[in-house]
Amino acid sequence: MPQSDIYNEIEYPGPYKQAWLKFKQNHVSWVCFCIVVFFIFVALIGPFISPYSPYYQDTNYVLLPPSWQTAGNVHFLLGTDDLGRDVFSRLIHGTSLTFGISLLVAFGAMIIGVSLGALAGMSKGVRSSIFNHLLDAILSIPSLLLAVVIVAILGPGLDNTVWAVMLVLIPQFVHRTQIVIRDELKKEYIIAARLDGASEFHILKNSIFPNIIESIILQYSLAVSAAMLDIAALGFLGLGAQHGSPEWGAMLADSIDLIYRASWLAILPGITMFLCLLSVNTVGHGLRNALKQRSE
Amino acid sequence: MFIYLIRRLNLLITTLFVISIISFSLGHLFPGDPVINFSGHPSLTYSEYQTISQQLALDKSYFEQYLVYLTRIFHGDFGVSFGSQKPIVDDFFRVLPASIELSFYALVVTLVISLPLGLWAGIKNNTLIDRVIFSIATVFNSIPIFWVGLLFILIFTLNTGWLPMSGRLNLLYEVPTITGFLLLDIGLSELPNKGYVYLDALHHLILPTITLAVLPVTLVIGMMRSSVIHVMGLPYIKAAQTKGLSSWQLISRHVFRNALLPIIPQFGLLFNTLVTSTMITEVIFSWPGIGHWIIEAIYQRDFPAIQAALFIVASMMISINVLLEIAHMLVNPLMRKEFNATK
Repeated sequence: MPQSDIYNEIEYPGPYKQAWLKFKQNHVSWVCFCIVVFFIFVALIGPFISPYSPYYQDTNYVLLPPSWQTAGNVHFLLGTDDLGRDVFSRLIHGTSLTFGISLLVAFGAMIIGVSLGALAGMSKGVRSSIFNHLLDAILSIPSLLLAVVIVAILGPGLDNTVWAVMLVLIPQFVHRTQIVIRDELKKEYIIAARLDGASEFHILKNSIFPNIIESIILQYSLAVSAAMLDIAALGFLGLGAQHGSPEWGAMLADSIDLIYRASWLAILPGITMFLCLLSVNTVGHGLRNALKQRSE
Repeated sequence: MFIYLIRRLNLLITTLFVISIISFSLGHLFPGDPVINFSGHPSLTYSEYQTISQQLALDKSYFEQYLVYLTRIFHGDFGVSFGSQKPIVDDFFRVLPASIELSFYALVVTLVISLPLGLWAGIKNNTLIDRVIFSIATVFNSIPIFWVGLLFILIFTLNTGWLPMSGRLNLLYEVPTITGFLLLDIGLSELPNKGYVYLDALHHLILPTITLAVLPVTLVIGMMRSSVIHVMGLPYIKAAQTKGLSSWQLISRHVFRNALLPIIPQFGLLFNTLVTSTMITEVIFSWPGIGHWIIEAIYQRDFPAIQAALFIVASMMISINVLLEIAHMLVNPLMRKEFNATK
C-alpha cells in the first residue's frame, strides 16, 4: 500500500500487538476477558472487601433466601446457609480459593511442564522415546482418577489437592510444548540459525521460544479451566477442601442435603463457577482464533 | 503394515509396563504397612504376616517384589478388598457392567446428537446457525458436570417428580443378576410384567445418561465442526460441486465420511473425559458402577482396591487408544499412504 506519510512515523504493530488487536476485535472474547480480569481482581482483594468472614455464623438469620425474594434481607445479599453464614462472602472467598488457586496451580504446572517439554522436544533418539512412553502412560490415566490416587496417598485436604492437580496438569503441558517445539524445529529459520552456528540452547531461547509462547498461553487457559474443574470436583467429592470450607465445590457438596429447602445454596455457587469457566474458555477460544487469523 | 502393528504393540506393552510400575509403587506409597496394602488383610497375626510377607517377597529387594507383583497380576490376583474381604477382581467385574451400560448409552446419545450438529455447523460455517450451535456447545462445555447433575435432580425430581433420583431400578422389582447389564437381565429374567420393569429401568437411565453425555457432546461437536470445515476447503469438494452433485449427495458421499475419519483417534480423549465424568455422575445418582466403587474405596481407605482400579482402568484406556489408532489406520487410506510409499 502506498503511504504518503513520512515513513518513520508509521507504526507497524508487532506480532504480539497484532494478535492482541485481533483478539479485541471479537466483542464476546473481549467481554469475557474483562470478566476474567474482574474475577482475578476479586480473587486478589476479595478477602478484604467481603462484608462478613466466610466462617462467621449469625444464628438469628439461618437459611435466609437471597435479598430479592420477599423473605430476604438486604444485609445478606445472596442469603445465608444453614449455619447463618453469608453466601455472598463465602462466594467471594471461594473465588480466591477455587479460581485463585487454579491460576497458581496452572502457572506452576506451566513452568515445570514447559521446561520438561523443552528438554524432551530438543532431545532425540532413545532418550526422547523413553520420555514419550512415560508421558503416554501418564496421559492415559483419566485426570480425576490420577488426582484421586494422589489424594489417597497424601490424604484429603485442599493443600494436597493443589499438588495432585499440578501433577495431573504437568504431562499435558509437556505434551503440548513437545509438539510445538517439534513443529518449529522443522522450519527453515531454525536451520538458518543452526547454519550460523547457534548452540541448541541459543536456538531454544532466541528462536523457538518467542514463537511458541502463544501456544503455551493458550494451553495455560485450558489448564486453568481444567484445574478449576478438578479442584471443585475433588471438593465436591469430599476429597479436596473439607466440608464447611468456602471452596465452590465444597459449597455445592454442602448444599445437597438442603437442596429442596434452600435451592439457592446449590444454584449460586454453580452459576459463579459456570460464569468463571465460561469466560476462561471463551478467552481461550478467542486467543486461538486471533492467532489463527494472524497467521492467515 | 505389519511393522506398524508391531510398533503399536510395542507401545502398548511398554505403557502397560510403566503403568504396572506406578501401580506397584502405590503399594509402598500409600500410608500403612506394604504387606497389608498388597494383600488386603487388615488384621494379621504374626505368623500370617510372616507367611504373606514371604509369599509376596516383601522381605526381598524392590525388583524381586515387583516380579512377584507382575506374576500376581498375570494370574488376575489383586489381593482382597479391605471392605468386603473378597477378591478385588470379583468386586470389580461385579460393578463394571453397570458403568459400561451407562457409558455406552451416553456414548450413543453423544454420537446421535453431536455428529449431525457438528456436521451442520461445519457446512454452514460462519453463518448464524454455526454461531448458535458453537456458542451453545461452548456454554455447555463450561457447565461443571456435578452442578448439571444437581440441577437435573432439582428440576426433574424434586420440583416436578417426573423422574427418579438415584439407583438403577425401583426396589419393588428384583431382577436376578445374570450378565450385569440391567436391560439384558430384565429380558432374560422371568418376571411377570416385563413392560413395567423396562419402563422403570429406562426412567432411571434418563438423568444419568444425559448428565454424562453433556461434556462429550460438546467435545465431539467441536471436533466434527473443525474437521468438516477443513474438508470443505479441499479441492475434491469443489470438483464434486462442479460435477453437479446435489448438496445432499455431496454431504453424504464426500463430506461426512472424510470428516469422520480424522476424528477417530481423538475419540481416545473422549473416553478419558467419559471416565472422569462417569465417576462424578455415578456418585451423584448413586449408580452402582466403577466410579462409585472407586470413590467408596477412597472413603474407606481401601488401598488394594484403589491400586487395582488404577491399573485396570488405565490399561483399559491404553488398549482403547491403541485399538482406535489401529482401526483408524485400517479404515483411513490416507494414513496408509506413508507405509505403502516407503515400502
